[in-house]
Amino acid sequence: MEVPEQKIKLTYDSAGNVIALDEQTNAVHKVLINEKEISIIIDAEPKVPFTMKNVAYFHNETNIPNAKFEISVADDEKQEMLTNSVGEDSVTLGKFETDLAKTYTVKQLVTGEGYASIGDFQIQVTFDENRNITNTKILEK
Amino acid sequence: MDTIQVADYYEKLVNPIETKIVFDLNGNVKANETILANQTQSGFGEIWNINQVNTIQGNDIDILVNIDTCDPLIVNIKTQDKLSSKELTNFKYKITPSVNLPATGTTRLEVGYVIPNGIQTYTIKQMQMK
Repeated sequence: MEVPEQKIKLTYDSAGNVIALDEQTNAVHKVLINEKEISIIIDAEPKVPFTMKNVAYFHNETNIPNAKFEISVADDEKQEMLTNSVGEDSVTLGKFETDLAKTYTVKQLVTGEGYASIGDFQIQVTFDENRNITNTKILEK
Repeated sequence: MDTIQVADYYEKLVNPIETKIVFDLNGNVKANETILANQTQSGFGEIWNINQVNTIQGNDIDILVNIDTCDPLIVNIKTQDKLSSKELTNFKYKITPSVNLPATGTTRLEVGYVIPNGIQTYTIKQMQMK
């Protein structure tokens, strides 16, 4: 998870005690002020987890290691995935949305040794009003 | 009017420094007598001291004043999942500005120092991602 840069503005009295705390950004929340000590809560925005497994087309039980993919979402956010010895890798990408379907694009950058490249494909992820994932599907080309 | 000005992050003197100066018949500062005369003055030897007497300027005393830094600001941070409100661990942050202290940590950070009678905006930046 990633927390964007946050800002707080503190006002001090003549003894150096904090007398006011203003949240300058929306992911930080004031909890407590006690003289020269403050307590705050910072919200971390979770991202949508993706796990990719690369297997052979004709022999699905054969895992393909060392294949590299790029997964991106419309707002220019992207991550690379490199399959491990069992053909898997995981990343997190994009926010959990509200009542929205979002499209992710997958490109293969490097194929597993001895395997043909696959074309780009897109995954549509649908979120409900509570930001739960309700459906995922591969979009037809 | 308050004529005392202290550098940022340093504490003001609680009491003014009062020093006694002993002169000879010619109006010159008598070094040893001046130092002795100040032994009973408030804070002498601790908060302030006489550094030198009659230096290259002649007929003067140099006073050394020990000023403490302000206490650090303690920032307790709880990181939580925005959607589930579940508490998250292993988020490391750095707070700027901070003087002398690194102001880095996960849940309790010491920031150097505070600005009495002032306003300071701090930036909280995540150092590592989970």
